[in-house]
Amino acid sequence: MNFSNQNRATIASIAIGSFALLAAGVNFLHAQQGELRGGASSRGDRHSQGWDTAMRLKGQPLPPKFPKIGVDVDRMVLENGIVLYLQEDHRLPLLDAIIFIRTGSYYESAAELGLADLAGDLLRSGGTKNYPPDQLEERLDFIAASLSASIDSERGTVSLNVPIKDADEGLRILADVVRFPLFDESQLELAKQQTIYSLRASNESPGPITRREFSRLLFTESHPAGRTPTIERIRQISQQDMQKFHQKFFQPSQIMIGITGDFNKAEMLQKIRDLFGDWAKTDVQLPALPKANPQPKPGVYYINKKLNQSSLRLGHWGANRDNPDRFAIDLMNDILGGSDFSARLTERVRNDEGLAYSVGTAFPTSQRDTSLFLAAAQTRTETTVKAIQSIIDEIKKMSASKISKNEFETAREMFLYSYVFRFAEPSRALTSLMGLEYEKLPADFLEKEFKGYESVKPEDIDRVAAKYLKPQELTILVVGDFPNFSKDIAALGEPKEIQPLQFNDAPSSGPGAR
Amino acid sequence: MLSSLWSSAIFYLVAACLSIQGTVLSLRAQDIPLNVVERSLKNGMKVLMVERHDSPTVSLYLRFRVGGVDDPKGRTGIAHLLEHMMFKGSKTYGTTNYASETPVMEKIDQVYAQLEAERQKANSPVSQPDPARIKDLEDQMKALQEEQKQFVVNDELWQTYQRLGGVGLNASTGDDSTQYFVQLPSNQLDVWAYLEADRLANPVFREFYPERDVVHEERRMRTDTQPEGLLWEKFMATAFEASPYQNPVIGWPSDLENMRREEVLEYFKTFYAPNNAIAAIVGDIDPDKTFAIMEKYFGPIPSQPQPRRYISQEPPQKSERRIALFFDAQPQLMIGYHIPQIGHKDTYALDVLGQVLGGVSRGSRTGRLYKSLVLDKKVALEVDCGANTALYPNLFIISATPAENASPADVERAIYEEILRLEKEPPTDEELARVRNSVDASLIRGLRSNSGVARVIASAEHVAGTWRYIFSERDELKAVSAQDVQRVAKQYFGEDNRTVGEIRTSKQSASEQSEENR
Repeated sequence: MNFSNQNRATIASIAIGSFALLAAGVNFLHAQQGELRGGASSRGDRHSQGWDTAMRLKGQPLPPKFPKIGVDVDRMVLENGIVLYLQEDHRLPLLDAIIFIRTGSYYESAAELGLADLAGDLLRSGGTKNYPPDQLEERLDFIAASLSASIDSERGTVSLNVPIKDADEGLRILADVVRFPLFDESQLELAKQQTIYSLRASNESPGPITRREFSRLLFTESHPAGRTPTIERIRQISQQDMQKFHQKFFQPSQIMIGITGDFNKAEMLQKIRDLFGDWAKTDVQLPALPKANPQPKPGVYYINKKLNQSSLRLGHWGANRDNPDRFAIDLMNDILGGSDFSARLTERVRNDEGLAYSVGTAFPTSQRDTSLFLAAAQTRTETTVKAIQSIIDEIKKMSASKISKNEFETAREMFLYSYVFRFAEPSRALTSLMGLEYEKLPADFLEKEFKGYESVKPEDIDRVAAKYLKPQELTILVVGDFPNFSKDIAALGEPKEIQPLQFNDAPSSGPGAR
Repeated sequence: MLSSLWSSAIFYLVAACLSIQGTVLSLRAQDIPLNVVERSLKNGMKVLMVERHDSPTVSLYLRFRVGGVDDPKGRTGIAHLLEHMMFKGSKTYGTTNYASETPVMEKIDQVYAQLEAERQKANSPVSQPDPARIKDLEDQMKALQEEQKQFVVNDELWQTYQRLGGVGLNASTGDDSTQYFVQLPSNQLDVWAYLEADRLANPVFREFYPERDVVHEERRMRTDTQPEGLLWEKFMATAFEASPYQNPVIGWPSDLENMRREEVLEYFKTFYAPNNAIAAIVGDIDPDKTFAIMEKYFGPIPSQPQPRRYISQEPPQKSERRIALFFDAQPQLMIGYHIPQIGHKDTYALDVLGQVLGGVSRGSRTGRLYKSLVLDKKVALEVDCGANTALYPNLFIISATPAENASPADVERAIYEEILRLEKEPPTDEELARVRNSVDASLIRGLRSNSGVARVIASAEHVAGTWRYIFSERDELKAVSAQDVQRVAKQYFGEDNRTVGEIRTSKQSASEQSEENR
């Protein structure tokens, strides 16, 4: 907890990144035909005199650079199967190491819920064979190293940043954390207490409740993205569970190591061999990753919470990276609600109507499994239904009429002109290439992706808007002061109350929707 | 699972190291290649440039010496609302016809003045607002806004930056300053200078009243609906009785509702002078050519004498202050002590004290408070502290999350025990060495990205008077002795210099409900 971020305020919340980007099953055959096509928009086609001057001064897009193994980064495989990426960068006396472990909370069964997440916390805080917890912390802080560990839905990550003069000790600690974690009992107890606190805190402000309950509605508890552990479940997790978890996933064949910084590659390779080379190879059988079952759940749902601002979330099933339309879908989303102030939703709901500070959409297209198209906003209680209606109206307009010339150019140029930032930091090249291999994507994935975006035509965007936006399938969730918008909301449909998960010591209740 | 807790801590520490407050970090000076070219335009605008050709990009950062502290009484939030209005265009930007738009905007101001007068009758003992007249005026406002809309080009400036390839585009308002920033491909530098100089010379605050509503939504989102946000606001309002730090940057609700376009414009004219601005430009540039570009676009903007600033000085507290916020949330505790402003010699020892007690970095588990409260006594799940060193005297703040079976009172007692322990047990050599190592490493880390460099040099130039402060601060921090730390702890951590705030778990009170139903 820290409060000192409270004395700043900004023009934009850049909130879309905070939308949970959840994965789910491939299903683009399912898409329906859009409504009748309306006329073309001319939105933004008229410009000011200053714009013309700016466009005259504007430089050309800089040519894209795609990082390559053997050019920007070296890749090698140790005898035990560990994949190693190395990159020298002598600008500052620092070293960065990142380790990917093929694991994740999506590999765990409903009965194991919460284990992977907590194991990530304990990797960081639970000590190692050679560094008990207190000593680990003392050494890390003494050499000014920063170490972090987390296990996400489909990936485990441990990373280290350390001044180069103490890099050897930093790497020794890192190797110990990955190979010989202790999962110390008293640290586990503390992490469980912190997790329980967070679960309870998630019901104390509207954002976390809205995100959690919306995922639970669409994914249901048959998919990990729809599940949240109970307090009782957290209390059950034991040191032995952690050790089994580690044994199951943390094996050389499941590990990728990337190192960038102020070192010599040959020397670094030797150091990594010394630290990881004697780790015996074991065969690992991973369970299959879950697939989403994209069942639409149209309707209006609410959670009653006494607040002066309603939190709104609307969405339906979306796409994944196997979808050949993904580039057009992404650009379409920019125009609808994914490009901050250039987006239609911002213009309408924020600028024209003054209804929300943060409003936008996300249509994730780069992840393995099918995920959700989402629109979200916060608005004062009195304007709850008005804001929802404006959002739905814009989604409908987007799916039923053509985009303007200016909208197309802006979406396209945003991508093309900013691409130079993608690998501006050398470490981004290293982690991108590692990410491709981890996700089992082809080596030319980045080039193909770039070309994919480059070749999107305005009519592609019109077509995918009609095909993939499904206003009639929208699930609408409002968290707010229901008695003060209950009359208006009937205009959207019969509202159903959701009982949010409660985090008491008693086992949590069953299905949420009534 | 702790993501919500940690993420707020991350935000804070990033902000703190960027603004040179609190902890700041470093390595031996000679090891850091930071060649800042420092120039001034004739109108007084400061330009700091750093040439780094690692990628064809440039980080652009424009900082104004005005923030929440400069908001006049009854108009809190004006610096921040102004920051929002700076994105609305100029006489030649965001409009297809400024000449035709102007009379409509003036009519909006007139109708708004009548509307406000009518609404304010609600506060009068002798008159009543007329709902029919209010409705009529609101309809007139709407019609006029619709009329103006035909000339407005929606967020054209933002869109321009996106089409130039801009990333990290945003602006922020703090207590002490307001900043506008973006990273661009380096071949777009001219356009940036053109756009920024244009909005500094000729801004037009179109669509003002809907934007005011947007800011009010921002307030509800950040403060009203967030237990931590609300505690922070109440805590600062309690800790300060005279200093402007008592007011939230976002503004008090009724002040937002009272704000008029003409007033924000007036505020702009006073403070947004080139001689009140610092530009930091870091990346793939040629300093001479860059300075010529700055001369060309910003040079013609006339400087303006700056008004005297009326910043009330916080008098000695001489009392303990306590506040409990009743909220349907788990308990939290904050303790604050008044400390001096940046530049005062004690700030370095206070910063080191913060690292000895609170740990050397985000998530550090070696601070005395963490070891005692979280590990040994198990009364807290998390604890954090640091010196909030700012332009005017601010606070040293300790915050903690009580453990499940502990009360805020238990946590508070444990904190005071650690503070007392400092008298008998000065920081050890190891504790101080750890701080010094961290100070070195953090300075290097702060200089990794172009945007990091731009922020820290602009910030230091403003609050400390020179960007070189990032190095002198590092040296001062490393020279702090155990006795210095003991002395400042004794001097500032007195009961009569202390404010304590907590969240007390409760369902909502009747008074709050009646207010919300208004």
